[in-house]
Amino acid sequence: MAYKSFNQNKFETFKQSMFFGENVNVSRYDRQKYPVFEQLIEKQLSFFWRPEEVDLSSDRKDFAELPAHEQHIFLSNLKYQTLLDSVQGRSPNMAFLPLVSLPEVETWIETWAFSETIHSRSYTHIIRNILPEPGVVFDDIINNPQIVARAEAVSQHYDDLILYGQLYAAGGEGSYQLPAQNLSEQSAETEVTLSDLKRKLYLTLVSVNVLEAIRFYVSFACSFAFAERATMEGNAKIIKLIARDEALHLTGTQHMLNLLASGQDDPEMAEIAKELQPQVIEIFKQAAEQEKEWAEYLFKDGSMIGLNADILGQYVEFITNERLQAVGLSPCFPNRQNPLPWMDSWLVSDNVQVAPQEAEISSYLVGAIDSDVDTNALAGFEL
Amino acid sequence: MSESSTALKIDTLFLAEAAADSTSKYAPTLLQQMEAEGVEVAYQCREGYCGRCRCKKLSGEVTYQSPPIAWVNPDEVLPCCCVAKTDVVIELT
Repeated sequence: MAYKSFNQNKFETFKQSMFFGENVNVSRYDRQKYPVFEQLIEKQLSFFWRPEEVDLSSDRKDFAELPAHEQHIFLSNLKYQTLLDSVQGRSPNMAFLPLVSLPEVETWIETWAFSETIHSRSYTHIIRNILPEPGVVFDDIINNPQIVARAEAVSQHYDDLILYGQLYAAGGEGSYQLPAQNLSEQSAETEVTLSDLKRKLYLTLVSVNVLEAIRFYVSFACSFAFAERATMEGNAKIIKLIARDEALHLTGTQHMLNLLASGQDDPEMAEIAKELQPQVIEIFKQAAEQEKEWAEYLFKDGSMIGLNADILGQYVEFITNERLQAVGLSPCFPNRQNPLPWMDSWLVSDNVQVAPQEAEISSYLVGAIDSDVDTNALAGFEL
Repeated sequence: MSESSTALKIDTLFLAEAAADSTSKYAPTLLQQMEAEGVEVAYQCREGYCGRCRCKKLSGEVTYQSPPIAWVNPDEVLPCCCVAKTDVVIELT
């Protein structure tokens, strides 16, 4: 059962399931059981960017000019994102790597988590540029009750899976005596079974999908709403790069969830997915509610132009529905049109460019020629 | 789109006519066809990895020039990276 850094068993590499098969030995990518993970890796590598490439000198001035309630919105979102990427930069590795059994899935997880560390570095870059003392922002992340409540929600499934995964790796299925969490508790006897571990894996993947597919988007919306007013544009440029990466990550977890639910990877997982469906929907719903509460907290001292807690709440419901459908579940909120249609134009990633000479911040383009071509202008052309 | 085009939008349906040569790299994608007809489709990556433009396909056949990265259910298409092989009916939401 113990994890093997280089598994010397003889087994058929491409007949393993994604998880709980043999520990991966040779990192080989000449063939894949699931080529999509190789494509995800290639795509993620092609997206590589460095935070320092984005100039934030005008953001410093912009930030100083924001009213206090908007500074609160901006910094709170940064804190929340820093928390999310702190978790995402390590936990996929901690939780999933010991369980994974296909080389392309293993390397996708590592590539994915690495890109989250770039996001974390970019928050430091932003905070360093807009504040004289970055430490106060970081220190508040573990002290602010609103952020701490969110930390609990995003890490509980991970921690549960990691603990049970470690017990399973150390001694396989069986009964374990766990030390008490605090003085008032008795030590607890815990039963570890492979099928329970599979359940925990499935729920963790769902909670990660929710983290990347829903939780990030409230912050994204605020960042883009600032930039719609031509303020904090360097920040928006970084967030655009982050959003492009996140779109890829959520595709990754959607593939894992759908492959598991289909049973083609592991027939038992199809049953587990069916059995856990009510819990899965609850995770989505709860996250949506938590994000709506977060929006209330952001706007507690006042809204910002173009955005308030109500409309942000509607957007959360809209994307939650969309994410549910992507993993084969029914929407849980009333169907509605996208309440923030301008979000899509910020999330469009076919024009994401990093080199400043390729795409300057919009405020710099004074007097430039509008080179946008309406596709209708080409409607008359026949090939 | 030319006068001879049969592409039409009926409330919640969109009929994309088959591309003349669906294997040509210049064949218009389903998304381009929809945009040319003035149908608003939300999209983000236009490269098949984000899944934002995912639509339900009611009939017809499409082909992908390279396999899409985003998950696509059997009854769905990703208009940004597929080409209509036959006439295709898409449900619009």
